[in-house]
Amino acid sequence: MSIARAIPVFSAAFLVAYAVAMHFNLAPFTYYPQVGAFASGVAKPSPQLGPAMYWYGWLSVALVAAAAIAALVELLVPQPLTRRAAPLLSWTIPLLVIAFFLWDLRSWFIR
Amino acid sequence: MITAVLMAHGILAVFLLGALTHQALAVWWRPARGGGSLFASFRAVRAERYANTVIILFALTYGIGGGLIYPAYRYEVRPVLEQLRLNTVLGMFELKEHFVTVGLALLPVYWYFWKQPDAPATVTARKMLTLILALVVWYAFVVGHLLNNTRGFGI
Repeated sequence: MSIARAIPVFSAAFLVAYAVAMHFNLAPFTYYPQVGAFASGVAKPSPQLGPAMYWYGWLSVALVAAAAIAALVELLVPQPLTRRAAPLLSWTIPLLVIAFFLWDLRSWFIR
Repeated sequence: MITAVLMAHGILAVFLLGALTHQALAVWWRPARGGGSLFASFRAVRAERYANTVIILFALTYGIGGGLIYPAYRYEVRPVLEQLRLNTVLGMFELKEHFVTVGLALLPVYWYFWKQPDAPATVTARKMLTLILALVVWYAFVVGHLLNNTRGFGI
């Protein structure tokens, strides 16, 4: 198993996992920046703790999922296939994820 | 303190913007031989030499922005913007948060393809990854300034 060869898969999987975590708000923990406190799971804002941040939770989900997916692909998928597909997928997936963010957050711009 | 951190974030972003713009123009628009104009010189750089610098600057800028500035923004600035119903500004900043995370995720694969700058099979991947990173950083830079000066712009 080569860590270097798994890098393109890791980047692509991170992006997809992050988009899914953001869309469904899959955060294993919540951060309250006003008081510097953490809570497990998706916790709500409160007058005592202030606004809740889920972004760090989404990043952690993406990191763990991407590492697992990259390891699985490296172990299970034939190397010639990943080597051929990596250059194309490395930039098409980010463009699709960016398009997804634009669509997912459109409500901010539609009055 | 947060003002000093914000300024450091901005200065690092300027360096990053410069490096990525040089690199993107160098790979997308090589100057003709003998082109002696200032703009041609701007494009006539060795693109592969910028890769490690871009990665370090991006990671530093993202780390300062996401780790130190964003939490303060979340409870000091965003509630005010929400009260003022500045949804366009809020939406642009939400997009910035996600776009720069796209950039962060691309750093490993960007490094992977740029460590072999002469590999012909990955020319398009290098060009596209550099372009995406450059556009992400330009967007983040402009939106950061718009947010910082929202009242003045009257968005």
